[in-house]
Amino acid sequence: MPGSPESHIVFRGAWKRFDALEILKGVDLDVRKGQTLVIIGGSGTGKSVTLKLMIGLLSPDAGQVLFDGRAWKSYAPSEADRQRQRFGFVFQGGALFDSLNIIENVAFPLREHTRKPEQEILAIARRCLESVGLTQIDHKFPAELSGGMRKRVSLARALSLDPEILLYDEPTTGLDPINSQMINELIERTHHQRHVTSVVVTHDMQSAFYLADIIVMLYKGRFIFRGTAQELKNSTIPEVRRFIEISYSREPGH
Amino acid sequence: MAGHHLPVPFMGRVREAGRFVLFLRDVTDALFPPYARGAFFFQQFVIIGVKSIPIVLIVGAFVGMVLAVMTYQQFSSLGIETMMGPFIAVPMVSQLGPILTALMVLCRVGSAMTAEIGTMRVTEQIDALQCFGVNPTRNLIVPRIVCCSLLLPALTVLSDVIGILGGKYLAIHVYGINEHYYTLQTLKHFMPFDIYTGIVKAFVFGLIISSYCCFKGFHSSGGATGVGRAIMEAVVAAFIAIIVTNFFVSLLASHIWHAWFA
Ligand SMILES: Nc1ncnc2c1ncn2[C@@H]1O[C@H](COP(=O)(O)OP(=O)(O)OP(=O)(O)O)[C@@H](O)[C@H]1O
Ligand SMILES: [Mg+2]
Repeated sequence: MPGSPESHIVFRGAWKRFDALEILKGVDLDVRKGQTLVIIGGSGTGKSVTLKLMIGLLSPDAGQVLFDGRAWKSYAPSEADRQRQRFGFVFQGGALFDSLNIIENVAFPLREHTRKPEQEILAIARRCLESVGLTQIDHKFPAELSGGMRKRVSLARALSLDPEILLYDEPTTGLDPINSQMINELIERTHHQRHVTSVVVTHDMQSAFYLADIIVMLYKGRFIFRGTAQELKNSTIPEVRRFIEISYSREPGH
Repeated sequence: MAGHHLPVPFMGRVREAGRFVLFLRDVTDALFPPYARGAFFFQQFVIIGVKSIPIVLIVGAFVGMVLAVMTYQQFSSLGIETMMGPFIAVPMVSQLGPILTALMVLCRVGSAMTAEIGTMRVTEQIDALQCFGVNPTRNLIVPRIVCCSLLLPALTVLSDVIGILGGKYLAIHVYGINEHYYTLQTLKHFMPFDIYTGIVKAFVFGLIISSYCCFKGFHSSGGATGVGRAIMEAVVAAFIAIIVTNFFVSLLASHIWHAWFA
């Protein structure tokens, strides 16, 4: 049930709109500890907005978003900043800082939040980069990397503070199948090795089926489906069926 | 929903104005305690201040010289060309120096502020900063606004000085006016009050440029096109705001002058 001890993030009747554009219309959702929740839905339906509500970067216009049983709104700004350190966020385009090189990007959260000595910070940053399979690119700049590499660096940066919850915004979009699978495996491995809670936003059905404990589908401001991968495949909801069929017909080889 | 009775473009303007007010409130909140890293301030100091100097010098010198050309043309026909000094110095210091320096900083620095902050916004770098507990207003916006509003007066003074010197050079060495009389006339009619007005103007222009350009960047959306549009809107609006504000500050200054000094 929502708000039970093992619920990490809970939406209760959350509304979000931008000017006249209604994005979420009173949604309920709970993310359990240790679970991998996958959010699917079309472009512009508000998946990224949902993730930003989870981490308190946006706040709902009505209803509540609770983290560990407390509404984000009830945290003082400095406390909210502290709580956010428990998250790792892999942004849609990577959101690497253009002006910093790769190693400094990964070290950034450590420099902000820890007082570790320089040597140790760099060592941790290198370890995080290695864990996503990247070496020898420490001194390159984000603009010099491919899209897939940027996403991996972004994941490395998200891992640097050893988060409890990882939020992934379309981690495989725009990547070739081999890179996509590599990212999927990375997410899966991170999930099991680090015992984190993961939320993955995607419209790649393959990675949804591969990763999900629970899948929810966002459609016109509401979650019209919630269930396991198997239940999704057997769903009779017309919008869900359409979404699955179209995403398969678009991908070569299916 | 409230507001649906009003025409949509009008509501858009009202919302935009509301967002700007909230943005300014966040900026004032973030001003104190003055906590942003020194490195951010230094970076902006160099970009806005140091790197603008060459252009300010070139623009100032040529504007001062063209003022000399125009006043000489008028005054020599009346035979009062020794009087031309203050007619270069006063407009330079109270009008052209502040305005042209501001417009130049708007083109050079203001547009880059919108572009840089807008790109950080649409590529979610600003969200990422916030995720890591780095307040973007305090660390990105405040250093830009503070540096721009404090440095624009300094750049303006530089432009004034070089403009006056440029005009004087032309008057003395090209038109052959007696240096002694030229200087005497200039000092007789040229008031410190004009300098103060110019400096106050420059400070206000600096605030307008930096706050509005940062605001447009901070609230941009819609990818590269969105950032492009934000830059265009920011520059146009700031340009108009500078020209209009200049008129009202000049008007106010002239009232103050008549009330207190004349
Ligand atoms: N800060 C904002 N200001 C105004 N509108 C916004 C803002 N953030 C998102 N939106 C709008 O909200 C809608 C949902 O955006 P969101 O980024 O969540 O979509 P999405 O489901 O992640 O889509 P995609 O798959 O394309 O990433 C979009 O129409 C977008 O224009
Ligand atoms: Mg998105």
